[in-house]
Amino acid sequence: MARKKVARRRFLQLTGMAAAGAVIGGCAQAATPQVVKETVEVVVTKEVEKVVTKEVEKVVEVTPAPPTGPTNALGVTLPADALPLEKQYVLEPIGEVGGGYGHIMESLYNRAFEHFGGTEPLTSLDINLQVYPVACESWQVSEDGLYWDFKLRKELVFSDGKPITAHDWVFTLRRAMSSGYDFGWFYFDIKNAVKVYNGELPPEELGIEAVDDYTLRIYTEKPTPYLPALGVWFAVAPKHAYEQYGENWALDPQKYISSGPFILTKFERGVGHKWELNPNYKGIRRPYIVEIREENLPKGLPAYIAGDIQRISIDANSPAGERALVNANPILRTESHPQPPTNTDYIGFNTLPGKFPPLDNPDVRLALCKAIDKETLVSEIFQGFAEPAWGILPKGFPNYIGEQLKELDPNVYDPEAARQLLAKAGYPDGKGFPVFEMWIRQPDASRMALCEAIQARWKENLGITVELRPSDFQSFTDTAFKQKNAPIYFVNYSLDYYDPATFLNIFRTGGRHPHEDPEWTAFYDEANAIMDPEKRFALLQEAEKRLVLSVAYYFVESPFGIMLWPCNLKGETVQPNKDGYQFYGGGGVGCMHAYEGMYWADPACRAGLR
Amino acid sequence: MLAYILRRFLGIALTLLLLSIFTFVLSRTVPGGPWLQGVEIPQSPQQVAAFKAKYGLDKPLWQQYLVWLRNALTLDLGVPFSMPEITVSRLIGRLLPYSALVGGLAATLAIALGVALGIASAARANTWLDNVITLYAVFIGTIPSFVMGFVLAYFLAAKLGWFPTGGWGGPRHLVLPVIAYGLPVSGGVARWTRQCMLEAMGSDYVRTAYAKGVRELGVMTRHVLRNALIPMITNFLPLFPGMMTGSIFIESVFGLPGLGKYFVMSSTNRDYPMVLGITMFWALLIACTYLVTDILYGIIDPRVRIAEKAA
Amino acid sequence: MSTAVSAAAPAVAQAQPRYAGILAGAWRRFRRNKLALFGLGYVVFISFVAVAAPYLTPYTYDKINPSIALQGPSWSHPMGTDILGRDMLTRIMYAARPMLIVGFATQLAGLAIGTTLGVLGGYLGGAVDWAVSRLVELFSALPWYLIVLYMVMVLSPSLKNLILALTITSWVNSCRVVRGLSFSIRKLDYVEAARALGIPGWRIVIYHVLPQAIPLLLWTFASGIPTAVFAEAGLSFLGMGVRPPQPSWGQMLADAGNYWMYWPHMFVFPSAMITLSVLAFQGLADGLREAMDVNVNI
Repeated sequence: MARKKVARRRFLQLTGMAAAGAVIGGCAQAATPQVVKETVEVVVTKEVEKVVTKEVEKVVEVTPAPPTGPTNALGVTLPADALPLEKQYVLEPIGEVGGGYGHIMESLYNRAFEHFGGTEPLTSLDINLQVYPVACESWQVSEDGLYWDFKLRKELVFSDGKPITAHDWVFTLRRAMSSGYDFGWFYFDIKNAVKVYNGELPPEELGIEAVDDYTLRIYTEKPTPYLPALGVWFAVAPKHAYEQYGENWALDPQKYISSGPFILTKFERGVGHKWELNPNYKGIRRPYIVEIREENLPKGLPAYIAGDIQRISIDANSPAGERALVNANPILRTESHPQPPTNTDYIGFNTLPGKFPPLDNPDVRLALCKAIDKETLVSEIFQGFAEPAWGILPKGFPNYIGEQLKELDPNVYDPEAARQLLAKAGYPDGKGFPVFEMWIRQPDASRMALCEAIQARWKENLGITVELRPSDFQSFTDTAFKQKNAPIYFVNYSLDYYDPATFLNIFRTGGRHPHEDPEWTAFYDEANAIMDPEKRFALLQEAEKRLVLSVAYYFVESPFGIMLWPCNLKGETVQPNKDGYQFYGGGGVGCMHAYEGMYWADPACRAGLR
Repeated sequence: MLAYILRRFLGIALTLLLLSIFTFVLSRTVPGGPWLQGVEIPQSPQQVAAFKAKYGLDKPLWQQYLVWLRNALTLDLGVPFSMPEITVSRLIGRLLPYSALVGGLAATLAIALGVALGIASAARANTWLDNVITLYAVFIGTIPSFVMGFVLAYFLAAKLGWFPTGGWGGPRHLVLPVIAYGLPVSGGVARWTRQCMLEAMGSDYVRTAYAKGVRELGVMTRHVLRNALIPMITNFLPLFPGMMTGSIFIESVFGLPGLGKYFVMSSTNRDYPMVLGITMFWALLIACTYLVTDILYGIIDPRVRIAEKAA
Repeated sequence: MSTAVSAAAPAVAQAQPRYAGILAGAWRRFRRNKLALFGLGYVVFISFVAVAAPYLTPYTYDKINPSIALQGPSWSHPMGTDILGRDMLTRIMYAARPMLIVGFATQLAGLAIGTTLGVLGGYLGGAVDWAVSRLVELFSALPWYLIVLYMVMVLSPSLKNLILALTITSWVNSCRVVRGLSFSIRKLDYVEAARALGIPGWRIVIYHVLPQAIPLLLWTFASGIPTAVFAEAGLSFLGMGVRPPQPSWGQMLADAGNYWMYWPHMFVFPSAMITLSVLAFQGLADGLREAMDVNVNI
């Protein structure tokens, strides 16, 4: 959940109006990154004169630029065009409520959200969304695929000088899984994780062990080819911090023991937090940035234009006028970076036998699916800031097969066939069809509009009435997933790592959904455990097809957005990746980073922004 | 007088007690629970049971309440689930000054501007000035907050650069939030003031005063305003506690620290200690405001004697 | 305020034998106030629109047509279309229904409860006032958000519950206003005189106390409209408001949040309707105040 929340929040921030750069006039169509780039060039030349005149005074104050930039407390020398160190800070919004800046593996609210500044994860994602080792040097899977050995970096120490060993990693996961960590299900592939999590086995039985001080071994229930990817959220905690200071050590600068490149130096709840470089850090994530300031920050494009915030996301829920402003301003257009979709909205049906008849009848569900022209609705409502979804994997995700899934029956809009299916099930023209409620989890304006459109399509194409039930997060989760009392629900899931399993895992029987399909689960589990990537992906494609054909779910759309950050933010991690995407924060989107590989250069390119 | 205030405080204590029981029971009856916050996959019953045991939520409700009550009597309102390093009382103490400053200034702006406009409007009733003020007063109250927030931030901050778009800092940081917060309220204040003034202006003694040759300003301030004060105070005084406890919208748009967000978020997050703590705090504040209002009635209007009310 | 009362009172008292004359006079005074006349006309008009909406428009409020989404005003769609291509004018007209029903029901219920308790507390004083004050304190401080979450989940959303949720807070203000007034009124000479004459308490309340409160209460009612409209929109995200696809002005305005700068018609029309309604109801209230208060001669 922590991640969930992170991923979602990040996502909401990042997601959005990919089209911003390209939306000209009112008719927004999805912008391709290339379009944005082309406009950029023109813009820059246009703005050059303004830039020069405005920046002259500033340049005078500054001492002549040294051949290379300044060197920070970690010993990292900044590039020559970098601003002085006191300008090298990152502004982040403080968590609105909860989301304390504790350790990431803590239960409930008490954990870090926005970044991995103070904790070292086992692995991370580079800008090409590939997993790379962070706290380890390498990993190796056993012959039978049932355990993995991670070779830890021997030079790593906590900020108090104590070496980081495999025992700390074992302690971290055991503690998390046995003390109600609400994201615990994320690790259910690990041996005995379910039983330890539920208190049926002692923590010592968890499938994780220290072979020696610097070899961490993780056992899995079945072969789990994507195990290293789980490491992007697995961050080490200092055992001695818990022993010395108790549970809340991570919320107090006096007690904070860091394993990452930053250390907490100020923590004033609800007012502000500050992280500074941890000079004892010996790992490989070596940021140029010297400070992270978490404060209450204003929202909206004006704040971004005024320079009071350092990034903003524009998406389908951003005011259309803001999109127009971005579009009309050449500098803002250069600063626009379309983000890949990382989540998918879907409709789920409660198919539990006898619970909400006739939703347990696949023909009825198929009729409901075929009555929705999602391509039209999504493009109109999301104004180019979402891709229609044909399966759970968003477009561009590894193993995405949208083009094939699109041809499957549930994804084909055919009101006539839908009517016939409904008639066949005993509800000609929708007569006698019960009035169901569709529960919607914390809808924003676009999603609400989409649900109203779907409601209207069901009414006019099938003659049936469905009531919409927007709901706060907790009421939704309690009703739809816990009590399983929602007949139809509209909900979202976003990725935690870049493997199809991140999405497909939640559809296993016994997960959150009111739908049981042991056959699919068995097929999927078997496919998922195949170590040969090619064969595995082929079978996972088949699993996704079967998921669509089960019509227990109807996948609607994957929203995405455009992220803006100032053009004077430079560095290797904000460069375009192999697909042309650029990410903010120090690496690939979908997991936490420590702002490595980015720095502030001369802001001349922003002159004339106002 | 002292006896009256003492009696009132006894009443307030009773109100708080009833309110705490009501809120306590209600917060535990609302579906969901703190363990569900942000959860994509609901925990197993064992997990929930473990959570409840850890935070003492597994005991019978009346026992939990008595524990809470005992602690509350010593001003210990517990630890928020979402903020384990701080107590509810300390959190309120830390964030209230921010909210109180912004909200207090905004309420002052709203009342100063509103009363001035309302008096002008009443003094020139049914003239063009009155119409303009009326239109302003009604319109300003119906402007959606997203329009107000954007217009202020875009033109005054982003375009002209006169003020920061938000964040906490010097007095310049306060200008936009105070305007955005106070201006919409000023409309209602102006209309109410006009209404109360007109009621008072219709009376014989005002005509008498005019007939005696008292100047308009004198009549308006000494006779009309004084007599319009009771309904005005009834309505305006609670603006202060209302606005000084913050607004989730203002805090979020302008990036200010404050209490306002917790009034909403503690409920949606099912953060029981926060819900109870903040409700109790608010109840105490509002009850004290009403007490002050009642005392003011007596000061303004000699006919209303506190002692007699208490009788 | 209170002295105004003393002047007005004898007139009211004398007036009782010739009630018809008073009413005629009231109407004459009412007619002279243009804003009041406009208010009356508007209220009649909007009620007619709300009732007759299906006969006044060729469109329905829920039929979507994405191909004509977000069009500005035109002859076929005088107020333009929304994000789903629904006719804005039609939706504005249909939305008058919840505005009137929810607005009236909430405010009337609030007024009824608030006024009764306020008069009782303010006029009788003593233990009754003490109890009323406790109730006011209690209801001012109720955790409203939590109550709504509870109602929407346990009682399930409905118009009745929406009105209930809004009434919980709306009565408090009327109660405080009336109570404040009653305090000053009951010590006035004419009220004391009435009491000395042996006129029963309830008569004094009805003939002397309430008439003084009515204009202010009407006014509270009018200015409560935007509050109710916005509160309803806020509740819709919790599932408690007017249920989609049925339109409400507050929700239409909230929806405009994404579009107002680029497609101003999304914001202008609902906003204008709310402003107009407040003006009209307040105008009506003003007119009634002047009509009833014989001392106001303009």
